[in-house]
Amino acid sequence: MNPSVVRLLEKYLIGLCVIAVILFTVFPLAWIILTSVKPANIAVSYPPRFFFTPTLEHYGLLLSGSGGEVLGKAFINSILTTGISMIVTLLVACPAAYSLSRLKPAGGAAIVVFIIGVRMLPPIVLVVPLFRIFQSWGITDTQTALIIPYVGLSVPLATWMMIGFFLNLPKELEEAAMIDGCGRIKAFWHVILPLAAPGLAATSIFTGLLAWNDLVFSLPLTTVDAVTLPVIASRMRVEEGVLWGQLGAVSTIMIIPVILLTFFVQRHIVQGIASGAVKG
Amino acid sequence: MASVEVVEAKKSYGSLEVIHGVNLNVADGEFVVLVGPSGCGKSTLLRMIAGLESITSGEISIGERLVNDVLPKDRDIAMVFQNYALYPHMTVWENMAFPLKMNGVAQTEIDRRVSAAAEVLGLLPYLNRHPRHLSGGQRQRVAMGRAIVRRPKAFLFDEPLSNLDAKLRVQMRTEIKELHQRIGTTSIYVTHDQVEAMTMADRIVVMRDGIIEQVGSPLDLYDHPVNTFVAAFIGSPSINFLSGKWDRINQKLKLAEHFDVDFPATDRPSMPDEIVYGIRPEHLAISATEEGIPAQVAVVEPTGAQTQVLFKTTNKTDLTAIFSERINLNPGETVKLVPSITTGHFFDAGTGARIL
Ligand SMILES: Nc1ncnc2c1ncn2[C@@H]1O[C@H](COP(=O)(O)OP(=O)(O)O)[C@@H](O)[C@H]1O
Ligand SMILES: [Mg+2]
Repeated sequence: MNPSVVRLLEKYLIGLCVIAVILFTVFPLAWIILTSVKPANIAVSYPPRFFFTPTLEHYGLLLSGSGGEVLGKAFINSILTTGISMIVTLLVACPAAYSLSRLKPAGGAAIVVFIIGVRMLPPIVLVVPLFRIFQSWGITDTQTALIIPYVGLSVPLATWMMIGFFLNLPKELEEAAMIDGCGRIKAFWHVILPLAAPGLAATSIFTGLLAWNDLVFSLPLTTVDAVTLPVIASRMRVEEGVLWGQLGAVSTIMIIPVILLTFFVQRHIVQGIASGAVKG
Repeated sequence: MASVEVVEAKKSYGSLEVIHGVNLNVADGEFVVLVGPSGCGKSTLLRMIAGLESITSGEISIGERLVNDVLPKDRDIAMVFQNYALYPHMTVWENMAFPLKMNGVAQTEIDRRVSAAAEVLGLLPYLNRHPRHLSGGQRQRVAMGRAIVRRPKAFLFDEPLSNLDAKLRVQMRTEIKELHQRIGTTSIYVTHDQVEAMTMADRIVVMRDGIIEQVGSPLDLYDHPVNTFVAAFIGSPSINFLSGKWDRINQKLKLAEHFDVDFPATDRPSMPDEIVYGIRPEHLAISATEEGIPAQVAVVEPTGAQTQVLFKTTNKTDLTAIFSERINLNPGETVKLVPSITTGHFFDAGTGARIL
């Protein structure tokens, strides 16, 4: 075939693939947001309707009565449990990953395998024992009761990902810093940390999403005070069926912070994934 | 500034010993080059001096102070790495100011020293750039700048020029030497390139497999290599080796059917039977008589100033000769070669060691 024709075909094929991927990822998102503003009577009509007069009635219903207060509290709970989990995970995983990547303690590789092994435990297995333990501590239905398992499950994954980022940084940079007058801690702070930041940001997003979307722990471990947005979403399934519109509205509210966050750190994520995660 | 002293230094990785008891004295202000083939332990030795590798046994002192257990940051040395190790997230200015900042130098003094270094190195236009926006030569200069602003006791260089192209390498080589002549800081420079070693060093340390083979000035090593390894390693093109038999009756070294050479010194040690005779390319001449080593011309390479000719002897040994005068030789032609000096190098064929 004529090379220019091949190149043209290639271009269109790549274009088609990109469109397919975009549709694949954007469609569910668009669907949820559309559902949240669709009149209730056509919410699940078949064939689906894409043209209608948008309505805010579901948001209204969601906020009516004590709904607003419950939703607001859930929103704050979600933000706090996720945020604190992310921070604590970073604070624990970062030094752990750094030392595992650099100091090579005896059996370092074994430790890493063990760490990943912990993550392979199905989370649901932990729920019942945790429930009993938290009951005896009197902390069920508190944010702490969620943060503990979130951190516990995120740290192994985060450590493992970060080891990859740290291993990827040339060791000469650190050595140069140590010769230039840094101890190990200063070298880490001035040289390693700024360079690993994109990777750390990417890791944080991943661990944050685990907490943000979690239902496995939040559903059984919270009742009133510590409910999170996914729990509220789960309550849209009522005896009469599913309140699709309100489910869409809660979901939309859940998506917005994620989109905002992703938007602000996306460059770092891409860089992070490209530089370390693959190798890790 | 300071002297650097290494006494019986050894380094093992696990059960594998890679530095086998090295002794080395670098005088205050001296420029010493560690040279040797890849993997011989040059970097390891340099890194032991820097404190980046622990010392398995032996002692290392910098300026009379034993530094075995001193952290790199407290050894007051600067190091230039092969890949420069510039901090990617800092500008040229910040890179050079970093060691001063870490050592608590006052801001005004930092400004003064960094500007001065940037000026010397021609980096003034690039101070606000990040390393990724610099060429290889500029990065190399920043790495140098980061080292000199410190005014350390000693500079350590680990193959700092090997990532540059040939032309820039020659240029930077001269610049580093000039810089050393100007500021006179004790320097230890690692390279695998013997030309770099010859041109830059006050003294060269030739290493092989974790031991020092010979220490001496460039011309010392060139004129009096202690063994065939040093003889072959130093000099480009390489020295020629011919194997010969010691003729006990005539007390001469027989190099070819009708050609033998005298031992250069009058008081001869006891000679082994098998001898390797080393002769530098510029010390071979075309015989005016029928005496000499028969050699066939293989390749003629004129460079203008001199002509390099590759010969093959009858037993297929390669011989390289360099002629400063214009000569007229054609491939395939056979001539007789003779040493133009009486001081060829005699080595024991068994051990490779120099005889006398
Ligand atoms: N971290 C290490 N672990 C094990 N062996 C090493 C390590 N670093 C270097 N070596 C070995 O030590 C020897 C000397 O290495 P090096 O000093 O880097 O050589 P050079 O710089 O002369 O090329 C080599 O055989 C190398 O394989
Ligand atoms: Mg090396």
